[in-house]
Amino acid sequence: MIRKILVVEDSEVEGLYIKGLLKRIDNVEETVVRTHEEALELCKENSYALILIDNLIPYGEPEALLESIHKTKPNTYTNAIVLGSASDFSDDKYLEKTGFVNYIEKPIQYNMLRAAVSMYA
Amino acid sequence: MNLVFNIYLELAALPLDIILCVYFWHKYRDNTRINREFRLLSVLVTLGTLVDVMDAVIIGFGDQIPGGIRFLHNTLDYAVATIAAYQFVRYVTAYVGMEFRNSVAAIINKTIFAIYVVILIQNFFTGNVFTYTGTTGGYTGPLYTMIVYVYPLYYILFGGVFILSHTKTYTRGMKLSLLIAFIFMVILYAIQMFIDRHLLVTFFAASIGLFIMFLTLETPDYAKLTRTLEELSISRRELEATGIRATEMSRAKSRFLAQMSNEIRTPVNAIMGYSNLILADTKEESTREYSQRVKISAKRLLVFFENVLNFVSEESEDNSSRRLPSLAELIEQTDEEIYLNDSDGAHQKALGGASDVRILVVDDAELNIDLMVRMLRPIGFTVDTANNGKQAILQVRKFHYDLIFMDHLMPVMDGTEALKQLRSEKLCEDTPVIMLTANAITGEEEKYLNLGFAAYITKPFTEESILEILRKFLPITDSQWKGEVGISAWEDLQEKLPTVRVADAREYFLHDIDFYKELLRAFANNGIGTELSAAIRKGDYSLCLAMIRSQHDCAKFIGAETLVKITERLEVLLKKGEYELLRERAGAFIAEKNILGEQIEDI
Repeated sequence: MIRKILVVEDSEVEGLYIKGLLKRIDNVEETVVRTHEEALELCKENSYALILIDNLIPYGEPEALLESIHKTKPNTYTNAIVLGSASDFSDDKYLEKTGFVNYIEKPIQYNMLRAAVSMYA
Repeated sequence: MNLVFNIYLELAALPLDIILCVYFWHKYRDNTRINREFRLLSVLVTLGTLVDVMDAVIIGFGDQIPGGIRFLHNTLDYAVATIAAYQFVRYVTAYVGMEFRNSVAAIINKTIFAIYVVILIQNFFTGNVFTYTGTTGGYTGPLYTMIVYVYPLYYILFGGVFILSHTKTYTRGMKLSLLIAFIFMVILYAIQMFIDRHLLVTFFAASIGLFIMFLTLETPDYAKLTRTLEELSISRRELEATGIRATEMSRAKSRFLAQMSNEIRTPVNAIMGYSNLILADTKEESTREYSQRVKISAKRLLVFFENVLNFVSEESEDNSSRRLPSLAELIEQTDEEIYLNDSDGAHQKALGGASDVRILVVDDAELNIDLMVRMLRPIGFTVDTANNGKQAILQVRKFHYDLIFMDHLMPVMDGTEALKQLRSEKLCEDTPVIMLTANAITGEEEKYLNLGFAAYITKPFTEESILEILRKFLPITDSQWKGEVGISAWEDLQEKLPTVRVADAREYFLHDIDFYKELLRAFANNGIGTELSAAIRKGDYSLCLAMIRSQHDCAKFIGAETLVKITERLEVLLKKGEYELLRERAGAFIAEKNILGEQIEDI
C-alpha cells in the first residue's frame, strides 16, 4: 500500500535531500512544501500517513501547525515527526506537550528516516 | 339388504386384495423395512377382507351359528382391523428409518397396542367389550366402542398426522395417495360407527386405500429408484472417503518431497559453496582442479536429484508413462562447461557504504550460515545470524535490517511462521525477506511469494544469485556495484572539491554520486548569502536563525566542514545577541560558500 508522506521544510536544498531519501523507500509517495500555509491547504484535501515538519520555519511554530493539521478532517490522527537539532528537544516532555510522535535529528540520515517511516507511517 | 351389500363389497375387494398381495410378495422381495411392512399390511388387509366376508355370512345365518363361534369370529374380526391399522402406522413410519422406532410416540403406540391385546383377552372372561348369550344374540359392553372403533381409528389418525408432520419424507404423489386412503378410511369408519354397525365396509375401504397406495407409492420403479438412490449415496460416501485419503496422501507426499529436498540440498550447498571459496582463494593449480571436480560432482548429484524429485512430484499428475532418466543419461547430457563457468572466482570486492547495510541470515544449518557470512562480509555488509525463526524475531527487535535471508524448515520456529509473526508485529514492514530454502519442488515459488516473501532462492545458491538479490533489494546504486569505477568517480569528485570532505558526504547520500551532485548544485545555487545579510539588516533574528541552521545542516550532509564550523559560530553569536559581529562573520560565510559554488560549477 502506498504511504503518502508530507514534508514541511522551508529550505529548498534540505527539502530536495529529504525527497531524495524518501524516494529510496518502497511504497512511499512524498510531497514537499516550504510553508505552513501550503501544508495546511494540502492537509485539508489529503490524508497523509506521516507528516515531517521542520522545527525552524520562519514565522511559524511547528506545534501550532500540527495542532491545525490535526483539526483537519483527513488528518485528525496522522502521526507527525519534528525535524531539528537535538538541542531543540532537550525538554523531556517536548513530545508530550506538542503532540509529535517523535523527532529526527538533522541532518537526517537515511536509516533513521526509513525506521521512522516503517514505525509511524 | 345389508348382508347382500356386505358380501358384494367384500367379495369385490377380496380378489383385488389377493392379487395385490401375491403381486407385492412377488415384486418386493428386497428385505428392506419399507417392503416388509408393506407386504405385511397387504396380508393383513387381505385377511381382514376375508374375515369380513365370513362375518357377513355368519350374520346371514343369524342364530343358527353358535354364540361361541360368533364370539371368536368377532374377536378375530376386531383384532385384525386394529392390527391392520397399527400396521399402517408401522408402514408409514418406516420411511423415516430408525428415527421413529426409538421415539416416545412409538413406545406409546406399542403400549396402547399391548393394552388392546390384554382387553381382548380379558373379554373372554368378563364380556365387558362384547359377548353372545345363548339365542338372544350379541351384547355389547362398555369397552365396545373403544375396542372396535376408537383403536383402529386412533392408529389411522396417527398415521395421517405423522404424514402431515413429516412432509419432507414423502413425495407429493405419496402424500396425496396416503391422504386419500386416510380420508376414505375415516369416512367409512364413521359410517360404520354412527350409521350402521352391521355395514361391513372397513376392509373394503382398506383394500381401496391399499390399491391407491400401490398405484402411487410402491411401484417397481419407485422401489428401484429408492435402491439406486441408496446405492448412489453409499458410492458418494465411498468417493468422499477416497478423496480425503487422496488429499492426505498428497499432503504427505509434499511434506516428504520438501524434507528430501532439504536433506539433499543443504549438504550439496555446503560442498559447492566451499568449493567456490577454495577456487576464489587459491592460485595453486592442482587445488583448483580438485575443487572444480568436487563442485562438478556435487552439481551432477544435485541435477540428478532434482529430476528424481520433480519426477515423483509430477508422477500423480501425469497419466502418460514417464521414465526416470538414469544417472548415466544425465552425465551424458551434462555439459561440463556449464558447471566450470558457474560463477566461481567472481568474488565481489568491498563496496563503499556497505557497512551501513545490515543483513540477517537465518538458517539452522551452520555450514550455510558460514557460507553466507563469508560471502556477505567481504563486501562490507554488517551480517548477523540466527538459527531459527524465534532467534530471528529477537534480532529484528534489536536492530533494523535492510535485508533478511530466511530458511524455511528450521527447528523451534520455521521461516514462514517467523515471517508471519514479524509482519503481524510490524517489526520490519519495509525489510525484504528472502526465502532461502532447499525446497526446490516445482510450484513452490508462488507459494512463498504469496506468503509475503520478497523473493525465493533455492539451495544450493550461487554467489551470483545472492548478488542479484542484493542489487535488487538494497539501497545501493549501480555505480557502487561497479566497484573500482565507482570509487574512482568519488576520488575525482574529491579532487574537484578541495573544500569539501566527500567521504563524509557519501554516507548521507547512500553512495549515490548522482544524488550527491544534484544536491551540491542545489546548494551552490541557493542564494542564501544575500537573504541572510538582508535578514540581519532588518533585525529579523528568527529568520536569521532558521537560515543559519539550514545552511549548517546542508553544509554538514554535503561534507563542507568549514561552512559547518562558520555556521555554528554564527548561531552562537546570534544567540548571544552580538549582531554586529554576526554581520561581519556572515560575510565570511558568504565568501566561503561562493568559493565552494565555483568548485561545484566544475563537477
